[in-house]
Amino acid sequence: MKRIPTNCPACGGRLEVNRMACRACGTAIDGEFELPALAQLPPEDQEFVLEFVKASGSLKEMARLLHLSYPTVRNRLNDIINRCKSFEAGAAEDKGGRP
Amino acid sequence: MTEMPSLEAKRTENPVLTWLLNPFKYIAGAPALAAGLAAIGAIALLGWVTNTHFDGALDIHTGTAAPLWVFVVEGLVDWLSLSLALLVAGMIVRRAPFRTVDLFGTQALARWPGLIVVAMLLIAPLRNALTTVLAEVMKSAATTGAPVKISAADAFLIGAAALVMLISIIWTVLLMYRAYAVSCDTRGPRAIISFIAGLIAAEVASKVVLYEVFVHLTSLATKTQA
Repeated sequence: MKRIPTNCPACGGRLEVNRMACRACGTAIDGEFELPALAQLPPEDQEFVLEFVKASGSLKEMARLLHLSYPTVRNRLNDIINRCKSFEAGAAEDKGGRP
Repeated sequence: MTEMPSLEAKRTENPVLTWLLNPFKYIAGAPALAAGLAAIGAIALLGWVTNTHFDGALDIHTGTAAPLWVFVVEGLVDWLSLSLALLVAGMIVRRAPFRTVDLFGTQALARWPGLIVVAMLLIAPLRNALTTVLAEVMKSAATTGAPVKISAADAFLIGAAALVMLISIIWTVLLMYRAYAVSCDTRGPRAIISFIAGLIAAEVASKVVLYEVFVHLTSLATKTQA
């Protein structure tokens, strides 16, 4: 499946979903739908979050699976948390700027 | 759950180089602490054999014979002083909470290049050249102050030893910084500045503590003998 583009290739601004369609009947809905913070993460970070949830949120288990040290895994999670926070802050700013 | 090498395989890097320059990507916590304490113990033992003192967070000196416990205390004080200084620094600059065992464990392991120095000084001609020339230099400095004549062979040996020591110290400092950055999740100028501040504080603290410990223990030993 294609990756969801999160930034505009022309100006670099954040993209949002404008059209959604039902695969079964073809009904389409137009509107302004915001991408969730997790969906805006790079694919490898999304994969990390998915595996982290599957590991019951255990950093020790993640470290074992990835053959990395505990702080290395924890630091990566901190990076993802900070990215999600910046996405949320960006979304809040966008909302504030809209008429 | 399945193994997931793909999460890390995308970040291409030489694993051997990573093990040499940033082993803390792969090892931290209790395993690093155990390996680090073993390294500190081995350095103390070989230091005792070769009369090599690590008498300060970053110091290496050769030549003075002492009991084994002196070398063990030096190693432990060096490690603990830097770990405690960086614990304080890390608490100030951290982005998120971190585990103390990671910092102390990785800092212990970061000292392992000291083994290269003491292993090198096991080579008798090298150790003898260093000891002899240093003794002559000290004697000259204390008396006439005249320059000491060194043979070409001794100069070569001393130069090679100095180079190995320098590389070992640079390597150790690099590992100490990486250990700090990984354990406390800090990077950039804040990490570098706080690390340098911690290193300077640890150097001063270790010198003071080692002096106090040795004065105290020596006086105790004297009293016991009396």
